[in-house]
Amino acid sequence: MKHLLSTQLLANKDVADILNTAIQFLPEQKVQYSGHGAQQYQGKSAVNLFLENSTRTKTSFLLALEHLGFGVVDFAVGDSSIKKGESLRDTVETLLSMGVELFVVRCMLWSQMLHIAQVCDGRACVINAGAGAAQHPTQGLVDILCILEYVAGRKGVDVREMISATAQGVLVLEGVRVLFVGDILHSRVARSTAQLVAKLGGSVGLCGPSSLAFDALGRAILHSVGKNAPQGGFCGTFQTLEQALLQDFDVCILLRPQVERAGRGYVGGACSRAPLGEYASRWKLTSCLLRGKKPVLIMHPGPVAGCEASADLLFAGRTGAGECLTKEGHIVAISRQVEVQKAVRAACIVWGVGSAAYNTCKMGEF
Amino acid sequence: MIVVKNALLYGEKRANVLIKNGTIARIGQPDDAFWDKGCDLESAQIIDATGLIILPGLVDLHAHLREPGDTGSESVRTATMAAAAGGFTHIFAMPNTNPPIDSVHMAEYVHFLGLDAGFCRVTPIGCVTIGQEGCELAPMASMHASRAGVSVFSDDGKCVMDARIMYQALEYARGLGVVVAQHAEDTTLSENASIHSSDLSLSLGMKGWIPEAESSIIARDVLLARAANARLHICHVSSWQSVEIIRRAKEEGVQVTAEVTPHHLFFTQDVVKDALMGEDLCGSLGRNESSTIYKVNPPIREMRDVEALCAGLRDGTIDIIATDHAPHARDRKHLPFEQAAYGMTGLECALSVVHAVMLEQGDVNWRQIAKWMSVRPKQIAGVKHPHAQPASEPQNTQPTQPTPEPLAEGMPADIVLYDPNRTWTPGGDLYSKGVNCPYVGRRLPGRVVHTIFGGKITYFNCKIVEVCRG
Repeated sequence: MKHLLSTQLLANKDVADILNTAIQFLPEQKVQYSGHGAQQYQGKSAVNLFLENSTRTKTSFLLALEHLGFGVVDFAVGDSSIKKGESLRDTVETLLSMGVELFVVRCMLWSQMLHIAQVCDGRACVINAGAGAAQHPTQGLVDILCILEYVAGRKGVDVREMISATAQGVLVLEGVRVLFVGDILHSRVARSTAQLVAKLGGSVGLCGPSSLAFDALGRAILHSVGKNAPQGGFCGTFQTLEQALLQDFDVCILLRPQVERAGRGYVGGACSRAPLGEYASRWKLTSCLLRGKKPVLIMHPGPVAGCEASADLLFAGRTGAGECLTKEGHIVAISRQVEVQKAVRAACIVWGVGSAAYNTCKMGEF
Repeated sequence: MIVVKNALLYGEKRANVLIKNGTIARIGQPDDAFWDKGCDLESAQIIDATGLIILPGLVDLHAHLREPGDTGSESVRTATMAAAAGGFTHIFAMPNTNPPIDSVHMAEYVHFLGLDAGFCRVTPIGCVTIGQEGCELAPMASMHASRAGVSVFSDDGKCVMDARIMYQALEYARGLGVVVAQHAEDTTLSENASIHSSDLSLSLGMKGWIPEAESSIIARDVLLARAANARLHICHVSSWQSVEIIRRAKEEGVQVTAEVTPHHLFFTQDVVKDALMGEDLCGSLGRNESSTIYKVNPPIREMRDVEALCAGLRDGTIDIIATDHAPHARDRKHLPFEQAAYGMTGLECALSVVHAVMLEQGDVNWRQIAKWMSVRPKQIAGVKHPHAQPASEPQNTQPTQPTPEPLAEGMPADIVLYDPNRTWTPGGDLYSKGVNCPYVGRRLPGRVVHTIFGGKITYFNCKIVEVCRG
């Protein structure tokens, strides 16, 4: 039994293990999905403990848990005794006493995640489904799978080969440059994904308002994880998208300006009059800006606020089978990021709850 | 009658001390013929202090006793026991109790609770503003004139944020000859921040408590103190930026004094790093549960700050060491880090911690430590010594006139005897109710062995002695 709390604490071998399982759960692998591992956790109880709102993460975890056979409690904070002032410790202890073996947790503060993991201490597995501005490791794994698929496609190799190479210690993202655009300071996704990119040998650049994207931030996030990448995995901060797009990035991950977390002081005109108009005028990605540039994979972990990219790019991302080629050869992978979520999260659960459970289930039944 | 034999006066030369009627009756070399004469010495209690250093009883200008309002965390009785165990004979009680000490009856209440406990002298600090709300000045003159004799005023726990109120408090304090002690924290900058601003806070996406939240208020207040020609004291300085501002203000003649806590001299934020990163989370519950022990306001910062604080102490920029003893019950510390209460306990380990941090630095001696932890705190608080002439006019100048040597004949018998060669590891033997002693499990040098307060032994052979009251 292992906690999945932070990408920083994941070894490359763990990343490969999780992605390897995830591949087998992907929707296009319909045969394997129904056969391999499905319902293997019959009789076990899990709780989806979401102390903060969510659409994608919560739903994909619910679906993944159901497919694996867990009895799932979708914990509604509003209807719980937390509203009567019961402490988080007592809430978790109560659920543990009822035999819950897996906690999927989303919370406002990183320290709440650590606290829950401490309280569970060996009695249940905790999976971080987004904590404060600190970490969102399962989303990082979703993003890294999409990046690997893209890089594999470009190299003309199978993504499985890249994953097994990762398990053997090959830095499969060597030479791959990933740009994060927007509110990096308050983004847990940026922290998790950037750390995974650097761990696999890639490098990371930042672009956004200097209050939300700056060198010290990039270095702090990648500190200790980018040992294997050139310059510690950090290739600098760029003030405008025009400057950044001249730097030959392969992947561009757009982030939502988190006004609710950041407050009014980080971006000019974030809230009143034309909300985020100033942001859009400077950091909105448009097909016009992409014209004539090296092909780039465009990603967004969602939810989209609207000011991150022009409608045509976002629309391209929402249609079709997940990936839409725009005229210039750029790929928008926003739908693909959602599509693989259930598979990656199921794989995270298998990794966390462990092979013991995996071995005890009778494979022959499936 | 007590005779302390063979103690090392400030760790320098051997001395015997005769204590009679609550005062030091005689102090002299052990080979002096006086000690052989016997006479009435035979009836005296003899304390063999061979190898022990004798220092004046320590004075803490900054302690939270939690009573009234939160006796689950501490009481005046347990705090004064902890004080005696730490070698303190006089502590100043911060007013952020519930209700706060913002009136004569509250000040006298705490004063009498201290008298009742009897383990050391307790002087309440009064609020600057009513309810510590920062809006209306508290009755400072009445509290000063009361039987509690309040001479230090602070809204500690909160900063006096309103500049106009702070300026008026300083002007008012000048006329009373008292000092205003500021908890320097611009809360618009430090809101929701529970750790120092650094790579750690950035990498964890936690809001950082930037040093400028402290230093900008200090800069403002030294200007106001100069304008008001009043005495200002800065509580728990934590950053190098603040040390620089205070040094500059002192050079320009501003009547500012400052304190540093033992924990800001001892720790760097490395102590919270591993725990907050989530490393070794499975299996070792104890270590991570205790990470909130290191949550303190202002936060533990970096090596550069520790070095500046030590340097500031040695060159006189920082005048004193004060504990900021802030005990908490278990339920307020065993929470997620960001939701846990701020504060560490400090009284019992202070002298050992200062020994560990400062005495290692070559040119520091025990006289200096006595100055930081006893003589200077008394001067700042304006504690009257028995031979003082009643001041005809309020003293609104920096207390620079030399105070009499505390370890001298005729002075109150407030004494600590300290064994510099022993080591100890604080554990279950602490007297404070607080669960948040950051030194538990750490080996510290030296140990307070006996404490004598007003001629009575309050702590003997590392155990509290119940004092006869009245």
